[in-house]
Amino acid sequence: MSYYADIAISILILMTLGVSLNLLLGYAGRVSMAHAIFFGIGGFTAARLTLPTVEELGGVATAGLQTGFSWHWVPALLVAVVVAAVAALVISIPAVRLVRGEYLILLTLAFQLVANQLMGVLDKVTGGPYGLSGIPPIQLGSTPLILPEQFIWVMLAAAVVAIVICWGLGESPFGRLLKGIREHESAVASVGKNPVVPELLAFSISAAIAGGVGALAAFYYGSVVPSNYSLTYSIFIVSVVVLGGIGNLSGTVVGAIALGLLEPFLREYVGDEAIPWQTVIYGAALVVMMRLRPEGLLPEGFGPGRLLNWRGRKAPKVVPTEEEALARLSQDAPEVVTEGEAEPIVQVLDLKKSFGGLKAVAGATFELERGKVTALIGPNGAGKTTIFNMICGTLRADEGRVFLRGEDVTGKPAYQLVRKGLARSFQDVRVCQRLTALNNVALGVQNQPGERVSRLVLRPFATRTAEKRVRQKALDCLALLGIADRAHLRVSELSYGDQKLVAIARLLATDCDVLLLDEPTSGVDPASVEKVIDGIARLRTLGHTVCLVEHSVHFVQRLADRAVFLDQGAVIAQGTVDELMNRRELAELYFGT
Amino acid sequence: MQPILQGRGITAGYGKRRVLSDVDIHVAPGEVVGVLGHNGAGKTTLLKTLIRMVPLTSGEIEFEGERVERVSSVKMVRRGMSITPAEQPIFRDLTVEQNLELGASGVSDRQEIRRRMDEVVEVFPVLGERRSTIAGRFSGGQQRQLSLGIALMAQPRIMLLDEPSIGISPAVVGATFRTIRELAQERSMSVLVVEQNVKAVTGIADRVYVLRNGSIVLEESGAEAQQREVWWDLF
Repeated sequence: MSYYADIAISILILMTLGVSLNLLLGYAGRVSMAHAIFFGIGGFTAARLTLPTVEELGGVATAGLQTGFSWHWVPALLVAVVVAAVAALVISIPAVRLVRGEYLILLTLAFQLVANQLMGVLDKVTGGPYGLSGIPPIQLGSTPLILPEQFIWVMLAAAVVAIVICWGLGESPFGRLLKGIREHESAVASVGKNPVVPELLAFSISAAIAGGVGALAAFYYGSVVPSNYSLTYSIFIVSVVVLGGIGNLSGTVVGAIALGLLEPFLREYVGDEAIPWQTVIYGAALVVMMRLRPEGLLPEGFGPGRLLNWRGRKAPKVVPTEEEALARLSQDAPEVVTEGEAEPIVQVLDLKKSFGGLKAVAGATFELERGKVTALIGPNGAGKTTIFNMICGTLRADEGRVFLRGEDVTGKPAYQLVRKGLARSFQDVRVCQRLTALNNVALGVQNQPGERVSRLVLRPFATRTAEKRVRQKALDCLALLGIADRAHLRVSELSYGDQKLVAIARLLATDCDVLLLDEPTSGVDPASVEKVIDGIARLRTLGHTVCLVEHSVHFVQRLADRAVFLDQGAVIAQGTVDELMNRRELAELYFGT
Repeated sequence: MQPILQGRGITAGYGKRRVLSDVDIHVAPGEVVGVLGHNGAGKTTLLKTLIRMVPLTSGEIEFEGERVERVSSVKMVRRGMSITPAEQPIFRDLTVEQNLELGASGVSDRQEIRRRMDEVVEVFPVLGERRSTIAGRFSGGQQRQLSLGIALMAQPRIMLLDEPSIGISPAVVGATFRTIRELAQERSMSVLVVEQNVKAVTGIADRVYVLRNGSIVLEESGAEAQQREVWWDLF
């Protein structure tokens, strides 16, 4: 009995570590090769704190006798959690801000190797290569939990707590934000969200859980040894997540059971000589999996998460009509401009930009009038996209200023511009393919309490209520563009035209009054183009100021009130579209002479 | 006359992004056909689809009476089609001669290569005068001539040209296009040329198409197109 309970405990430990890593790997899309280190940091911290003091051991610290601070296990566990979280924060600040993709793998790999070495070297702290032993077991009342069949309940409870935390966070608006950052960091920033903080939080929450498990494992095994926290173990944890399914916690549970059973299975049925082969076996299993089922046994979005509507996979019960949506959205929309006086809302003053020796923009000055649709047009290479990118903060101008409602906003990052009321779309849409249309649009809604971990924990019911409002608003935005019936579908299931509409709906959800659209009709089939054009007309009805870059003059004629004509980086003319079309010299610039 | 190249209902794109929608196009032997359209309208994708570098979503392509949807681009070149890209149409680090030799990479007979090279040099004397110059040192206009020379080395029956006016000074645009016209006439070769420069194309084309957002919105003769005053709504 004890034998099986012991195996179950090691599987539960692996499972909890896998689940916590999946929060980082699956939801935030960040690969960490150092998860075993945080597991170890928790273990060593708890060990040092709970080991008996010198006095308790008779007043003499002799070699081989390991001493500590004789803490109760509960505070020691809590401190272990905090230390692991802080350690993760220290390593992740440079990692998240500066490093992307495979470099993050290398950086965490280096951290894993260095930290594991240090565990062996810093013998005053860690006890050296042989680690620390004699750690007292957990006491419940007066009973020490020494036997596996007693301790298993503690570990089971810990696993459940970890799953609840990771699942709760992962499926909350905070998790939605993480997934958004995972797929398109620039798009998340473009709807006013700071992409750095959520990732740091994911890193440290994931490490905190690993630290807690490390403490519990130390209490159970009675010893902590650096070699237990090696790179091999980190890779093992990553394998559990990848095999089970990245971004799916039930997959991790299955993966942990499958991989965790491998060793005892080999021992039982093949014999001890098979043990060295287990690395080969799980390596081979991973290779086969990557070929046959790269998303893992249980892919993201498959499992119990579907049962609850947090995720928004169910078709909306009531699809609002366009009129209802319009009525509700009008309350937050900017004031509609009455005909008459033109009033500038964005002023672009003498913007300049060179790339090497090429002057892309040589002093562009123009205005966007409030409530109007303005198009930037001109021949290929005129500098339209460059100017566009400088207005929305994606590209730094060499010289010149951009004013929004009279305030200088030159060079402000995208997420700050959104808070001031200016947001952009992307030519290549950048909608999150693995999120539903509704969740994509919900990313655009500002000031969501559910996106903050502290609010989720402290005011769970208030955040649920707020989330209902967020979802209603997102649905209204989709309804206004005529695609509310597809709100529950993953964006990857939608046509390209519908994806463009989702991107516009996401902009609408930001409540920004100035919207910049980058080639809204490019890549859209003729039938869907009409829907995009209608959608942009709706933005104007709501009182938004729109600026667009569009290569097709035909669409500009249908979409825009005003146009700014550019050639070789300079503004040649501006006025109503008809006025510009009637000027012969512009036609010559555009069509050649 | 039976067209040398014909596309029917061509729909193509990249992943979900649709670039061409139901495009019908044909080119007769010896005919110069222009495709005009705004930036991003799908002109380059049309050329790449015709020479089988971009897969079709649906539609048919016929070359010299044979269906070629499943033929690779390498085979299309061997069968007598050539393509000259808009950007970097030459091998910048190689000499002029090496560039031209690469154009005839399907031919193994050295004497035949020599013969073709002499022909090309006759059309573009500057290439003969500077055979061993590194091609990257050429001016934009000379590079454009070289790119046409590379295409001619394969002795194509139809040339696909992507924006030959790019990278050359406005003064030589006219001359370049006249050369293209003469080549087509002398060799009874067909040319399908894609451009944003309306004037340049309408001056030499027998027929033009206008492509807007992936669909053909106009087909008319070169002469009619030259008379057209307003182009805005077609772009």
